[in-house]
Amino acid sequence: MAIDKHSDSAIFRRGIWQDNPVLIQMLGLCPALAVTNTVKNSIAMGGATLFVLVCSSVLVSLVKNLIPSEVRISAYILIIATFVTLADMGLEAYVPEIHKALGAFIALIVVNCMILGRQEAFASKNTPRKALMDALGTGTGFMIALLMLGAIREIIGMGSFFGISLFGPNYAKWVVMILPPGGFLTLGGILLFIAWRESKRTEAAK
Amino acid sequence: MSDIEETTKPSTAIDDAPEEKSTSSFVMIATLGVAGLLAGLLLVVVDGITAPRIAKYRKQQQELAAKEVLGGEGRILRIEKFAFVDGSLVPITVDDTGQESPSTDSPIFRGYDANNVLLGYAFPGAEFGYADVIPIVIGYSPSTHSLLGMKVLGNKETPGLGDNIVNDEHFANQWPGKTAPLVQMKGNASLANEVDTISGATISSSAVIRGMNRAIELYKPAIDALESSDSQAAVSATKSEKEAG
Repeated sequence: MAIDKHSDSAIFRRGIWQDNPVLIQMLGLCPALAVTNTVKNSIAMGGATLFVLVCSSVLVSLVKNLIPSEVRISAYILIIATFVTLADMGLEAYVPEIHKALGAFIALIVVNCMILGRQEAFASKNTPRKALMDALGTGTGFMIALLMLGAIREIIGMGSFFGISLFGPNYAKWVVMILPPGGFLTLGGILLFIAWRESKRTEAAK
Repeated sequence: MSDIEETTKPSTAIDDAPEEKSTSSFVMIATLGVAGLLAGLLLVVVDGITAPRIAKYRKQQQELAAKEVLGGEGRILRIEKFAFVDGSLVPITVDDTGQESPSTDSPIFRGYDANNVLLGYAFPGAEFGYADVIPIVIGYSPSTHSLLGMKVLGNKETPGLGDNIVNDEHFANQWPGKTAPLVQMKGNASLANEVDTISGATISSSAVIRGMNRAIELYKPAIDALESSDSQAAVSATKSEKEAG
């Protein structure tokens, strides 16, 4: 591969697939399982997380030299919590329906290990520009994973996509798919598929 | 991989943080203190912007739900708000600054149709469901002493099961004409005081019914008292044909 691994676009793309936070790194699984029963919820959760991740990464990268290393984790959490509260208030004021649907999970973005992980592993060691690209990539990757889960679960569990009915009123809804077990089943299925594809590829490379 | 290193490996342990000259406690406390102060300031500013919007939206939702249980927004011409103080209903007045007095989080609404005929009252209720408190609004007609409708305001009940209290049409539409105290049935409700729960959402739907009974018990005496005093006043003052409740 002739592409520069450190270029902005390479950093951006890495988070989307190669190092996808949910599907490859297995980070941020709690929201990924808990609120992905419809496409709408997935988009809202992905969007809120992306917002928090981008703002926190850029800010952490900007102030990285001002924070003594002993208290850096506390400082990151403080920064993340502030942006989460902003997102929480913003959603409640401007899109209250979605805020209602996501409930407590917005506040729990604070403890999404994916976000803290990016601060510690990347933003605190790189320039704001690179931190921005990394956060955008990781956040988009998170959103894509949530959308995959949300789409599969909503289509099977409710027979609809983004609230639009697909199969008519006679479709026997597979309710378990929008309940918590459906989250695990779907994630397991997706991971199985990815692992299977990966093993095919390494086999072919031999 | 590369020198912009990716550390998902456990190299994040505290002791390998870059180049140790130990920082004084004062600097640490000062750093976090300043950061906390800035974060607090930012939050206060944003809260100042969003809080009125959030409060306004809540009021709108309450009023919308009240109109719905009183027979649909189209039918309502005029709506009055009351606060529940010491067991009786006190009209809420709004002063020039938009401040309501007495102020209340859960106002009671009285709605009239286009001919200025009283439709009924809408008041709030709440009860613990399966996952969390289920807030509801109940529509009640003092002239017939029966229900007009009920609406679940929001719920965190299990999707696909408990949240059928919102989605199940039979459950949502069975209220008009029913009289309290309501008795729970399993799909064979026929008398005026019998209502059906939802199979598969028994806990959530019976919580709604319990919440309704409790709210009716709480507010009904106040509403009936206000109605009879109002209609007496109306009759003696104008000899209007207002129906005595």
